[in-house]
Order: sequence, then C-alpha cells, then structure tokens
Amino acid sequence: MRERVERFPIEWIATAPERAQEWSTPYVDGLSGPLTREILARALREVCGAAGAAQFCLADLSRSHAEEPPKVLSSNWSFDAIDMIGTASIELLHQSSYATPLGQTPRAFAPGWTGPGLRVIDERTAALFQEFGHEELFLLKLRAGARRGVCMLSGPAGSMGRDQLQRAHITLNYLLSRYLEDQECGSTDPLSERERECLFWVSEGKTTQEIAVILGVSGNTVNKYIVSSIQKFGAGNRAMAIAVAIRAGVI
Amino acid sequence: MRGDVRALAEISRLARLATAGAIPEAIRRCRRAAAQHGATHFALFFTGRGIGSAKLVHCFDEEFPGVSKNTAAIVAAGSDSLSRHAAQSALPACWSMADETAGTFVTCLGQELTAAPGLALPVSADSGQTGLFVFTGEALSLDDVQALHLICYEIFASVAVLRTGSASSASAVSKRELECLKLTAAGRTSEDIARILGLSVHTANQYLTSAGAKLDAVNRMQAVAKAIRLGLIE
Repeated sequence: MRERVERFPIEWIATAPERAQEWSTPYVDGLSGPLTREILARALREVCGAAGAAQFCLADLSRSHAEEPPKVLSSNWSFDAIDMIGTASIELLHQSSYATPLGQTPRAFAPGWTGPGLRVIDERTAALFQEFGHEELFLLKLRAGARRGVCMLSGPAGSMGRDQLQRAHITLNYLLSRYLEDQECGSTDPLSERERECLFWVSEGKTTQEIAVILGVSGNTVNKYIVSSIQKFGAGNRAMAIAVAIRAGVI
Repeated sequence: MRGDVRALAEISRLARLATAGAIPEAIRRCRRAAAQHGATHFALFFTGRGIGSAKLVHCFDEEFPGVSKNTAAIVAAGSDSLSRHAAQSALPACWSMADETAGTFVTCLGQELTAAPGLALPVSADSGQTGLFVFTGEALSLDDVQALHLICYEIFASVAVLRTGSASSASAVSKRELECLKLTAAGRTSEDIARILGLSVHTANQYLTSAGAKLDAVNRMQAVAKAIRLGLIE
C-alpha cells in the first residue's frame, strides 16, 4: 500500500477545498454534564452539519479482545447502509492512506472515482457507498489516550471544506474522548502490572529466561504471566497477544 | 544505571534533531502560538508507556536546548497526574484558571502545578506516539483552545516523524513479507501462513526471517511489535 501511494502523482489525491465559511456549533459549545448516547448523537449531527457533511459514522476501533469487531458508537446512516456496507469497509478505509490523523489536511475519498488511483475497496462496495449517498467521504482518525476511533463524514462532492473539516476533526476527538470517559469503558487495560511488564519484554524480543533474569523471578512464573495475558486477550499465541496489546495501547 | 543510559541516548538524539532544523522550526511555531494565547512558557513532552509507571520525557521548551525552571517545576509536581491524564484522555486539562468554565471540553486537573495558570494539551501522531504540550502564563486565555490544540497536533506530527528513526530501513519490507507478518500478528503459525498464501512452509519462514532482519528484530514477536509500532501493519 505504502509503495503504491508513492507511484502516483500527489495531485491525483484530492484534498478538501479551502472555504471561508463560519464554524458554528452552539449546541456542542453549550454542552455540560455527562455525555450520554443521545447527547452524543445530537452533538455529532451538529458537527456533521457545520462541516457541510450529510452523514456521519463514529466507530470505536480499540478492542480489548482479538475477535471483537469495530463498534459503531453513533451514526445517522440508514439501517440498510450499515448492514450492507458493514464496518469492515470502514476499517479497510481506515487502514488506507485516505484516513487522516489529527494535524494533517483531510484527504477526500470518492468511491465513484474510476481513474488511476488506489483501489481500497472493491467495486461492489464502491457502488453501495454511492447508492447510499456517500459521494465523497473523509475518514478522520481519532485517538483518546490509548483508545483509537474513526469518524467517517460523507456527503455530496465538494460540500465539505478544509477548515470546517479540521475544526470538526478536533471537536469529534473531544466528543469521543468525553464519551468514552463518561461511559467508563476506558479500562482497556485488563492486565496486571506484572503481566504487562512480561508482555512488554516479549515484544522487545526477550526470551522467557531473559525476562526471568530481568524481573528477578523464575522462568515458570514468567510463563504463567504470559499465558494468563494471552488468555485475557483471547489470543492464540504470544505474537497475537502482542499485536492485540499494542493495538489496545496496553504496551 | 539504565536510566543514565537512556538519558544519554535521549541527549544525543536531541542533538541530532537540533541540527536537522525541524526542532527550531517547531519551537518557533510553538512560541508564536503561545504568544497568541497569552502564555509565557511552553513545553513539549513525550508521554507513553514503556516499563513501570508512565513518565514525561522532555522534548523542548522555551529555553531549548536547555530546560527552563518552569518546565522542571511542572515535571516535579505533575509528572504523575499529567501522564495519567494523557494516557486516558484527549481533552485539554487546566489548572489555576480563573475562567475554568470557559471551554466545554476543558477539564480541570485538580492540582495546581504552577502558581500561574496552565493548560496541558494531549497530542498523538499517526505512528502511535503520544505527547503533551504544556502552556503556562498569567495572561493565559482559554479562548479558542481548539485552534491552539490543532496547531499542537501539527507541530507534534513534524516532531514525531523525526523520532521514528528506523522507518527508512523498515520501508524496504516487501509486500509478501508484510502479509506474512500480518498473519503472524493474527496468531497464525508458519504452517497456516504457508497454506493461506499457497507457499511452502520453508518460504513462509524465509519471508518472516528477512522481514525480521529488515526490522532489526531478534525474533518473530519483536518483528510483529515493531511492524505495528511503525505503522507497517495495523
């Protein structure tokens, strides 16, 4: 994926047009108290409107278990759209170069684009995106502490401006952070301190015997810690446990 | 002892960065942004979890390449509370502010780290690194914290790129090697990988070995960890 990006001239990757429009979110600015699901949905609707987007989909990508799919926290998509497009497509796009981290200019992705470029999603999914009105979409990567999320803003082509999107991006990040903190689902750290230490050293390429020396315990104890952390993550082996732990921000 | 070695490595790294010109540019931008929001002191720390409790690793402040008294005071008083905040939240945290209700999303740290009002803004980069900007000053204002936060994210992106030193050799990891790494990260064994990709077990192992060598990893576990941390695989 990385290599292919470099082979295409940069002008083929569209960025959002600059637009000197007012950014106004009175509802979001007036928020106080805990952020419930209803308040989150209303706030997102306002941010979506202020950015010039028609549809939004906010998903939590941090998972504490290997088999967990990404969780949609809030969205104004029709039920059919979520059902047919699925969260897998959003995750695919999130892994592509179209997804924007905070601090970068958002990059537009047009599912209907047939010219040269990156083929991130298959044609059937692209057609579905268009059918449900996602003519142009932006994937905004979110991160609150160790937790990762993504918000997809979409709408008619050319309706979203760069300044608005960047404003929307930081506001969405705040909303996600507040929501996760208020929901108290912020505990993605199921490991004990000792288990975390062991797993960290495994990820640094240390063997059981080496870790035993580092921590001053026996090799059996180290293995016990590692096995219990593998079980807590629902992983199949050490490599998988490390992958899950790093993604969840535990190590 | 290990701490000393780390500190030395940190100093030589910062010396390298300083000559690259990117840090001075980041400091210039930071100084401008600080002035616009009424702050007289600013600092950037790297946060994150290595081993043991979370710590703040100083990157730069207004007296770069030195460390200002103000920064030292913040680290001494708030290392724990600030790194704990950065590990959980993306929201700005403030202390000693007169108008603490000014921002919807600004949280109160609940501890006065400096006599002057202060604001801490957590940031992150695409590579997975996290940091924390701190601004203090008598005239610090919470007007348009979001704009300041956005600038902080931009500055951090430019600084974090420099810190991912080994990315150049890592970019040479081939597509096939990445596929093998991805499957390993999903808990597959060499036999599984060989079957899924239609290779012989020997070839699958060969790909993993060469990927490990390119990533400067001693074994499979470290290769997977490095590939994820560098953002080569999700």
